[in-house]
Amino acid sequence: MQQSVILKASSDGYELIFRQAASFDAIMVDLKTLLDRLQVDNTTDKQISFDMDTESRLLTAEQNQKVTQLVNRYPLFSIHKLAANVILTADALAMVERNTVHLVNQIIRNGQVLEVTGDVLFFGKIHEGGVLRATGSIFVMGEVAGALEAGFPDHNDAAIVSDLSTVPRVRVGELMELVDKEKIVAGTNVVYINDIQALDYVPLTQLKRVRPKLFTRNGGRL
Amino acid sequence: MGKAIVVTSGKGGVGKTTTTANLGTALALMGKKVCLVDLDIGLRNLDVILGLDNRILYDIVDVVENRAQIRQALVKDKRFDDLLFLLPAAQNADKDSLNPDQVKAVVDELKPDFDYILLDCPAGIERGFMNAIAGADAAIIVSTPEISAIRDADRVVGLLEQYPLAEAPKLVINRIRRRMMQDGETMDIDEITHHLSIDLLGIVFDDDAVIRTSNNGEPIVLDPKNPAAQGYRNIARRIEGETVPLMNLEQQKPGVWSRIAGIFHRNN
Repeated sequence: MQQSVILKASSDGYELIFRQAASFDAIMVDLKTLLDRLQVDNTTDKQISFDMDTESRLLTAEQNQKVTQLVNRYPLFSIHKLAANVILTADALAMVERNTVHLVNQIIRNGQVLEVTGDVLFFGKIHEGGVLRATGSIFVMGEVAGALEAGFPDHNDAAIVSDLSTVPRVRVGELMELVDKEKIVAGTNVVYINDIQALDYVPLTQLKRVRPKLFTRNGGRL
Repeated sequence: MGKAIVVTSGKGGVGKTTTTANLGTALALMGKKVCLVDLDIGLRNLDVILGLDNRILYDIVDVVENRAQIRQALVKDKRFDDLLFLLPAAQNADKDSLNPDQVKAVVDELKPDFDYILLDCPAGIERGFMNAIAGADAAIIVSTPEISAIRDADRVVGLLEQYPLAEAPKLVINRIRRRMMQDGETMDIDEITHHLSIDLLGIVFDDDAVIRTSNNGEPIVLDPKNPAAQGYRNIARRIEGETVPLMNLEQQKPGVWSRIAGIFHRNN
């Protein structure tokens, strides 16, 4: 019968693969047998740290705990990493959401706050008293008379790209300020947090210099 | 089955109650059966503008608290043949005396007997506003050309997007001072409509006679020659589905005779 736990050695150390076709109970039995044997074979006092791969199976918190408890019984063994090849659908959707540039074309009226997870390319109108709030960066092609909040609440590497002549207030990450019309440039501005942790305004031509990471995405993956 | 329309604005003093009274009267003049419901509990005015203030026996709070039947509380406007009725607000209670479900129940009870139920919403966006929109199928947003009124109207449109009615809200721009708008001292009609991004239902010019007639308990709409009255009558016709062009903003220059009459009038 095929083993439910396979031990592999690599240049990084030892890897334990929990086969996805086996039941968790069978894995626990085989894991114990394997660790017992390893402990006997181990003639040195050298600490061994395992990378554990559960293939296409997500362990529950309880199962995780059982594996950890079992390994902790052996003083020389520890877990370096316990991971699967898969993630929950909800987590995957959230990740896609975070890494997508959302196209928004609506009116944000006085008193309304539109909250977006990820980056926003905004074509609509923000009326006085309206707020566009994104966890990522904000790129504006519409009319804005309300507030822009990028990188909410504390993603300080976000940026706002917009004409600021009618924008009263901006926020990037944790920093918020009233737009000082003396500081902004004519046309499209980039608002970002600079090296001395202050909000700074530069022309659009400087966007790639101040936020190069915006242009290094590949197929939606960071 | 009647249609319930809430007349709202957010800001106070823009003419919600005057608009409700005049639109109700204009619809009654067109032969429609109309019930006006005053939801400004504690600060009722609709009865005064209609000249019905000394004929109130029961009010809407009496109805929801089962002290009176709805028919007992309705005040009939005797100038019209069983066409215009008022359900007054309570004066000795506050806006918390009603809840949205109760208002909806009252409106639903009125609907089979009327063509239109106009709900006069109190200023603000709290409980009174929520009560008023609960029973409505459509909304008329009243604004004046002032920035503060437009800002509040924007807020109310946003709230109506959050709690959508069967029909999208429509805009009435009230108290337009033609000279100021022509001189660019206030936003013009197109700018306001474009800014709020809702359909324009009509415009009403500012006119001293509106205050004068309402002091006498006679809605201005009863005077067909008055420009404000024409504005309200046009809105009523549009509510009925007619296509009516907007009134001209250009003020007619007084003719020779009216100028001479004006000189004598001043001398008096």
